Amino acid sequence: MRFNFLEIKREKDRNVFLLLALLILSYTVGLFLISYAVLLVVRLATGGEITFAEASAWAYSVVFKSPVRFHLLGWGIGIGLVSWLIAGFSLGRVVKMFHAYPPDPQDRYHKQFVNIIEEVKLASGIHKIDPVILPDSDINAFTCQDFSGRIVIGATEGALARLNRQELEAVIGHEMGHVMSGDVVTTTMFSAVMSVYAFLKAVGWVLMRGTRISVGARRGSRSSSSGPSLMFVIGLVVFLLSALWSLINSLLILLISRQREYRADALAIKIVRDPVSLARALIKIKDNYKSTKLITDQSVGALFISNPFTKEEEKDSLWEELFSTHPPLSKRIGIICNVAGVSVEELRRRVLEEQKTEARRRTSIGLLFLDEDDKTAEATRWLVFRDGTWQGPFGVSEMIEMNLSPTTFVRPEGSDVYFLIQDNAELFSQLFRPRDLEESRSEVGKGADDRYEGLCPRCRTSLKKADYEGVMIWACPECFGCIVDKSQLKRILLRQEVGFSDEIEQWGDRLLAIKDKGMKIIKPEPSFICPICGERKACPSCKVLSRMFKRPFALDYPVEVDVCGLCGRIWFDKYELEVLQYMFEKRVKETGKSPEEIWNNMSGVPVRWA
Amino acid sequence: MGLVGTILLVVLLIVALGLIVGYNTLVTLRNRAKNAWAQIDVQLKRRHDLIPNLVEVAKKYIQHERETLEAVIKARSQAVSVNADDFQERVRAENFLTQTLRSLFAVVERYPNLKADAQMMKLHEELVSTENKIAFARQFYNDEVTLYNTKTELFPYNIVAGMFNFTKLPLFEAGEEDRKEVRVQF
Repeated sequence: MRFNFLEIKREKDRNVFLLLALLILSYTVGLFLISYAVLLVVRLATGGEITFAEASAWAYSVVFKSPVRFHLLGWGIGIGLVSWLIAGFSLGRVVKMFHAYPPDPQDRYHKQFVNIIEEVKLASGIHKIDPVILPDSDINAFTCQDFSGRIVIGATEGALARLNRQELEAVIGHEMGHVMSGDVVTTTMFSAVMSVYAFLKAVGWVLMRGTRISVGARRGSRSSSSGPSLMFVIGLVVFLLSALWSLINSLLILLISRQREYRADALAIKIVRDPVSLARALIKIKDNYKSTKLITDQSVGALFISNPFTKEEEKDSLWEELFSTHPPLSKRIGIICNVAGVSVEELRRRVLEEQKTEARRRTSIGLLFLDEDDKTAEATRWLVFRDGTWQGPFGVSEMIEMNLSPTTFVRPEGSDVYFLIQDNAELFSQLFRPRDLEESRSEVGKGADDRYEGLCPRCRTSLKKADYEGVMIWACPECFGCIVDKSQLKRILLRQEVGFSDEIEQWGDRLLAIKDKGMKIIKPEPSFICPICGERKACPSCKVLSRMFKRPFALDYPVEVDVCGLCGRIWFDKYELEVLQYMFEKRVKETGKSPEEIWNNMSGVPVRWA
Repeated sequence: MGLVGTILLVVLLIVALGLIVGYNTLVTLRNRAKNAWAQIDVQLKRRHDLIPNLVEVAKKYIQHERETLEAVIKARSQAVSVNADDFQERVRAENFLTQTLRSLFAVVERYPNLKADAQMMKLHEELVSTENKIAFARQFYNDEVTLYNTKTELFPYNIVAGMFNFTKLPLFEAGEEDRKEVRVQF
């Protein structure tokens, strides 16, 4: 049987709708049940000689017949809505939690990601989307939205490094599918439902604990002899019932969450019309899966394309599936391959083969120098309608400083079709970028300073911009030395574009054989002034801090590098960066651990890097 | 004013209201379609801007097969110089440019040094992205135009359309080679 993706979407739409209705029903029924139980207990304890049936009938009539039911309904829905609103405005917190940062415009891989987001925006007609990047080395992507309508789509560095363009586009299409079907809004609804029950559970717990402590404190007094106190029983009932109900609710939520994943897959195919690439991306995710510790909050798992919490290899058992936010990857891959009309085995074989014979650039030096008069970065220039006339043309950075309103008319230079800024997604997002994302740029992903003009510390020629596996770094065109900072090095190590010559492999293997003796081989000693911060920030009297130190990169990576004491940037001489990269990749391959773990476990890296 | 007069007044009011609503709906839809066209226009413009750089970089490496480069240059200047009001002519020129670009990228595949050029990698990414954006924006534009065109044919609207001269908008048809795959895969 072969499904059309539109049929799949329709079926999942129906399922999600029914399940959501069921969840709301279960939420309110739970509230009624708990209050009914509490009243029952109170009546039984205080009513004297009363039978269970009578007490039950009384409690039933109070909860379901009297005006109390309207209060319960009103308060229940009210509290639910309030916590929904609270959950719905926490986008900034979530993004911070992932240590996400905005893409570095100088980075080729990041630029590709930004381009893909722009494309998907056009395909879906949804404009307010901000791309962010997670430092994680896993292949994953997520989306998040708050009630102000701002949407964030993020991808990990691992995804950018290991998926090809079409695969990445399909993955972003999946995230876009979540946005289009409003899944992000319902996710916040789930966390609201769960938090209300968590609150009730806490109340029950406090009642139980509180009374037991007071009973213990008044040891010997008369109340302690008459069994557990009323408060304790009420607490126990509330606690047990709300625990049971939050289990039921969470099972429902997980069921909905899994249905939504299927639907987002179907929508991804609708948007980018490329089921094979989506299947290939999921196969890569499944095969390369290593659990990472970056994301620790369980409640956000459903925001990702594949569950970031699965411990080991996924097992396809019903039990595992019941408690998972995502359907098993193999099931999803099966459905998508069915739509595309290709066999899963065949596709997996092809992906594996390609990974083995990865089309690397067979050069031993990864540095590619960029021309000074680089015209590609130059975007369209715009004419702006201000004070009754067309002015310009202006570049985007000039337009930012002009403080234009989104309802200003603009037209691209050389064209006479004009429109409002807010109607052009690309321009709009360039001009009105949210401030909190800009701020996080100052910490990570600074990239190379654009205006810097420094000299090579070895040959005193001026450094030039160069591309090393998509990362923009400063390098010397004479001796091929280069200077790299922490976030850049991690990106370089994750990417696998450069092939290594036999010499580099031999060199790397020799260094790998040396165990934990890096400091003995390479004695740390001051070398030269840091070319980036040396002339600018050094202490004017001693210049001690801006001096670089010769040292091994790490104890278990005894590559000789020079580290700046002030800015922490590292100078690599010719081939040293390639050797370090080779050693890193080899270690990942040999130990079978995730790159993230290998990166975090480097011993004795420079202080500023730890 | 008798019963007839009242009925006549009510009918007139309903007709007037219908005219207003119909007119506003059509104007909204037409503007949406025009805005969708503006999205394509920006991307086409961007492509015209990128091609000279691409040719410049490719020239350094491509010794044979010069005719592919020249075809791209020619197709671009045709697309730029075409009369912007002649829609069909413009669409034809742009589709032809898409075709020649595709054959150029097939040639690039045969020059590993060119493929590995830093400048080329950036340009390649930008052009692929622009091509995708054109394809997606075209899809979007055609959807909007179809919506508008259908409305102008539907019953109460066709009267309004006839009265206020709402003409149908043309679709942006893909070139012959494009019909099979929606996206470009270089």
